[in-house]
Amino acid sequence: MLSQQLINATVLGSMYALIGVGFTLYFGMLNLINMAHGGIYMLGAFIALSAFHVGAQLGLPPVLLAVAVIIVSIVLTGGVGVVIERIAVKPLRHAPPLVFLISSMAVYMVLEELVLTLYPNGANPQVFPDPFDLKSFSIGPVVMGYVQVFLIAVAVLSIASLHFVITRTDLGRAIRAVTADPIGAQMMGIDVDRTIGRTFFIGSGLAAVGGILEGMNFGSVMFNMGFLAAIKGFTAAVIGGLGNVYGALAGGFLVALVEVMASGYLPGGAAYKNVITFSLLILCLVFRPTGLLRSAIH
Amino acid sequence: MPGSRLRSVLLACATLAAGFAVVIVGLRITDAMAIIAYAGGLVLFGAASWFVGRRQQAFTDALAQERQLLAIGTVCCAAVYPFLANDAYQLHVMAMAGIFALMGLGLNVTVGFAGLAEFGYIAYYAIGAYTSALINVRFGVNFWLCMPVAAFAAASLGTLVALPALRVKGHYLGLVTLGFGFIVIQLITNLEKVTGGTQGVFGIQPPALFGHSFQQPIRIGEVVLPYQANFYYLVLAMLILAAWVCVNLQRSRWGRVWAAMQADEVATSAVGLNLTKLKFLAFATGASFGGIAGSLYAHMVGYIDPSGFRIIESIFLLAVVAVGNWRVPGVIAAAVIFTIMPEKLRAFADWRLLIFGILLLVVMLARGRSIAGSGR
Repeated sequence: MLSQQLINATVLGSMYALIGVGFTLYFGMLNLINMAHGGIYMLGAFIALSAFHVGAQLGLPPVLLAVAVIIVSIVLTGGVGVVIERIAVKPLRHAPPLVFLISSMAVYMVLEELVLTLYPNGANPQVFPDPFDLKSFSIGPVVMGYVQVFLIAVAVLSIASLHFVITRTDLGRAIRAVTADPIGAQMMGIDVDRTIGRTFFIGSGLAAVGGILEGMNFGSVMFNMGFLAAIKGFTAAVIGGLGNVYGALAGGFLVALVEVMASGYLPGGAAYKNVITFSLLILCLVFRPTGLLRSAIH
Repeated sequence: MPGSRLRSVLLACATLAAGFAVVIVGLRITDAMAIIAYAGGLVLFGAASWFVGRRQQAFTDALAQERQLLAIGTVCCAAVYPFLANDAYQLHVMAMAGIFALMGLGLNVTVGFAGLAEFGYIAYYAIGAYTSALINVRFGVNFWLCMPVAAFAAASLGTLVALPALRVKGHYLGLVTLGFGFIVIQLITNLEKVTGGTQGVFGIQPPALFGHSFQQPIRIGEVVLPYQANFYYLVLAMLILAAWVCVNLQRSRWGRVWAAMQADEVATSAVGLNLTKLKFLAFATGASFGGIAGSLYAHMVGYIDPSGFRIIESIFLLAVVAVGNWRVPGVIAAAVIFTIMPEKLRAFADWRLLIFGILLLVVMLARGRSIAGSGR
């Protein structure tokens, strides 16, 4: 029923929002679409999974382990994001967007293949542990897993941290400046290269959280989970207006809502939910490329 | 002067023979170490000839002068190739390379000639394959009629995709076309009653020419070529036709008008040319090549299902067009290399797609720097 669907949509929306933020940040700063971001999302989930296996051997209590795993994944995935920026983004910053799109998809392919070949039994879905052992509780007719509460809390915390960074720190000011006017920002003494590198760290870290969300919520991850997630995250970013961080967040929840409603209420809707998301993307790009949401300015 | 003409012809023939030998050797080796050695040798050779070309302007001039001869020579070499092939599987791979080249040429019309982004080209291939397969299996239509129908179906889809192109440009259009491509593949997978869903379509009949079915081996005197050679020659013929069409298209009024549109849409429109018609034509023409390629593929393998049409192939095709420098010979060469490389890399088993991805990245990084600012 509706309230159940809304819970699902909230968790799903957090995933899409977190990956969408990365897309919108990269587009805002570089005017380029970075398809490798989907690979980062997937990598974040797999790094977390590996950390889980390592941590389980240390015998930590599950919830503490979950938190530690998330932090470890954010840091490591963020690092990978920075490395990718140095290798594959910086040299092509002024290349035609088509070239960049292709090379970012090549990076995505490399990331996907790395996990496929290097992770044991990589070709099959991997079980992602639930720190709450699938326990759930009921509020009236709605059934909610403990893990879902945890995940929503994590998502809220991540989004709040992002907001804090963007509005209250020098880095956030630098990001806003570079997004608005890279040359002007440079003239004001902002190190554009470093800012972009740090933005990639943030974007990748958030994507990692998104990947972990997907893993914990659905209980499994797979090497190719990044592609669809990237498309949905990108749709979220477009709906919110490329370059607008708060728009991407709202867009993520909107996409999730549409997806959950379509799956739940349209006959045979589940098979077509991706078609609907893509159609939404196309309609938005054609009729409203600046985004559906006009209000929020970051 | 007759002397220098003779010299340039001899030079062209020698280059062609050397190139052909290199290709044949490359296609025959299958051992991993040999491949690494071969690749290293190629790199060295490429560097050396680039160096020579720089120093000896006469060399490159001579080759440029004998373009037509080189083209005819290449076609002859390609025609002779089946007699030198390792085995039937290799012929099959070369036929697939030709089909991929056909798609590359089609994409080149939309992206290279007209400058319109197209990230979902695989959809035309899929529509062509499924249309051809379904009318053949359900209605018993002969292959030679299936192929043009498939081309028409793909062209119609292309016209549909062109609609957003009227409003949207650049990488936005790229994503719209990506979305279209994804939707088409998903619809093919979902509409089970029509397309057989994930089960696919089987029992697609091979073509027949003058009573000779393409499933039969070719016998010429004492020599017997495996039946894949039939498809190889068919694909080769279509590819030559497509290349000829592309070259003439580029030189024709359409090519010039597309180039104008690519350079400056506003000016083109101001001169009185109909941008809408141009865009429709660009998408539809490019798409029809994909439809033909799909039809050839369906009748060659006899069975198709959605797993044979992956979105990532559209990206490979874009890379092929970019690496081929948006020129017909370059695109064909790049397509052949892109098809053969994963096969060669089979020697490295599971690592092949990873290596392929890294190679692609390296090529795009190199390419990006050199064509940055060329406006494409």
